[in-house]
Amino acid sequence: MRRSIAWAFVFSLGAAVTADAQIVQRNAEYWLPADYNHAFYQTHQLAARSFYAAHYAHFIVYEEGLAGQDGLEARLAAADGAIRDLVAEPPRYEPPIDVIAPDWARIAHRTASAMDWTHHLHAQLYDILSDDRVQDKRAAGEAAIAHYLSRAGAAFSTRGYGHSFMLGGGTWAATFAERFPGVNGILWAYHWHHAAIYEALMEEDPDARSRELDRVLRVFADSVLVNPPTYMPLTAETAPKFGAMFPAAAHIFDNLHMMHDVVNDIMVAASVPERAKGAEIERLLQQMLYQNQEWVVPPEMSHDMMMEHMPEMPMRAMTIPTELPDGSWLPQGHPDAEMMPMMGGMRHDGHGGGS
Amino acid sequence: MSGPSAAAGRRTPLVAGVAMVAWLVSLASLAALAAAAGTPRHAAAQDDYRHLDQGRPLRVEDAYPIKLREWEWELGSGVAGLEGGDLSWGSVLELKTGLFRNGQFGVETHFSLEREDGVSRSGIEEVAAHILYNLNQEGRRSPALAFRADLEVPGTGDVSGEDAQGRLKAMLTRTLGRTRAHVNGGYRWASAVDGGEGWEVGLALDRALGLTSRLIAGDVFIELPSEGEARVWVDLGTRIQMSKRSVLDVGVFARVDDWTESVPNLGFTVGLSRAFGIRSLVPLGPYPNPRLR
Repeated sequence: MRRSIAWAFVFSLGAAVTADAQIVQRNAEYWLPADYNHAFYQTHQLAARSFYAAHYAHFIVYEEGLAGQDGLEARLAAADGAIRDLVAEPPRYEPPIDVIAPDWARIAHRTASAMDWTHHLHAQLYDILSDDRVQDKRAAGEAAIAHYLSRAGAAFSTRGYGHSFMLGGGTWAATFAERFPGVNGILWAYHWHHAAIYEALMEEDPDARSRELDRVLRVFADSVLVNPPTYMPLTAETAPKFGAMFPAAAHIFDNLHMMHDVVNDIMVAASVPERAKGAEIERLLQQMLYQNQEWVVPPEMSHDMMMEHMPEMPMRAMTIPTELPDGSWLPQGHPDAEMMPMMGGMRHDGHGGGS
Repeated sequence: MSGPSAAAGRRTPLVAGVAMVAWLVSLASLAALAAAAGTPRHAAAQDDYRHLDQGRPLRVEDAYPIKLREWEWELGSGVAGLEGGDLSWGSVLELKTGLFRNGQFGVETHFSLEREDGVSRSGIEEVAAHILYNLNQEGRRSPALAFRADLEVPGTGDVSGEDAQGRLKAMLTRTLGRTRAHVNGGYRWASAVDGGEGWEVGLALDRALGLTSRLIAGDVFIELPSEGEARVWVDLGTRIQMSKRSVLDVGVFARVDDWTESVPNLGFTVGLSRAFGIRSLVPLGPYPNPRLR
């Protein structure tokens, strides 16, 4: 019996090693230790927990998409209800990705890991802006960004790719927004929410900060969630003060949000077979990572493409990264940044394609 | 747990030194845990409850290490019934860290107190160190696979082990929806007086309870000594995220191969773990100040 059990275990180990063609390691890394960590949760718990419904929304869409096209409309309608319940009553802590989307996390582990790592940067910048013991918030934020960028395979690019990959990244572009406008509206409303919270935290006076946070949460619930944006809002567009202080972070979060949207499209697109979805997500991830930004050329966006998929995108969302005379710079979407050239093809990183 | 140790008299200076260091580490750990527990600002890391650490509360563990440069304290206690209504109390204090990518290193001290026939015996049962390495994240078909090596040296006091022990084991983890299955298997080297050498295998299931940051788990763990009868353990328990960095575990265990009315072989365990980081140990390069293009 002992020998049988031993051989059974050895056999299962062998099967485990050879089951997948490619071995992916987890490479999990602890975030930057700092006294400010969790200050946002401790100081403004209601606002901190308001993010968790968005977290659930992103990953339940991916999991349902992986379950196939049959009944997808009904499953996402049920997810819509569950998300709105969580908006009203969020969980106490942010649920892990592999609890919400266990199957998706297996086919797209590197993307899940990059999203999780970027969520930590999100959280650390909220913490820094919430903690009045931090004297130099710009320096603390830049240290957190430097640590974030040091994990090359998980950090999103600091370039302003805007909406280029979600509109021109593949044949699946804009599938999710057109097919499931309800859930997509919630997600775009949350992209506004994330940036608006940053802008509220830019208030220097703690009381004014709390009042502004309360106002943002009210506007989000009463207005933005009811009439969600008709395009993916950019961080600096909603949070110009935050964008001016941390332009690289504004681009990182825009790229994270665009990657969330790209994965939505791929996961629900019937044109991408289930077995090909993981590889397609990985292809897009590689184009949006910081480690590859020196050679990546984002897709050009034509006027027709924008008119077809995001006809209501306002001009303010079409600004490009802009260098200022003092050497600092403004991220894409910032109201004081330069307008995108509108002739011929356009690239959101500021390279006018021309025709 | 070994028998009364006249072994203390035979202990080498090295072993005695390790035991002394273990006491000091343990005291420092308790002080740090107490201090950490009283600091409400530190509280949160929402996936810690999903980590099935060995003994917290199951004997079977999952195939994942803690994160690179993450540190974690664990303090656990258990109590079990002995023949005649006497009790045995054991406690473990562990410090572990993600010492390298996809790997962890940990040291632990096992304390023990037994009261039998009106006589109490106590001390450090053993001091142990382990290294764990994960080969892969779960894939579309493949489970996660990890290997772990343990080395244990006898502690000090009446309950100390007699000789050094070692263990090599492999762990598999596979996710099935919100349920995860874990298989552990390995070989333990130990002298006959410390339980004898032999194979060990275990199977566990855990299930996350929705989005509540809690899970329930159970396992069956079988020790197959090279001489003597197999010993079969069953553990059931829960892990609860108490704060952003702290997890509470509670469990009940039973040795089912030796169950009689006079010796119920039932025990209970409770533990607390807490994750943290050390800023000075994290390499931090200059801000790259990314430009426009």
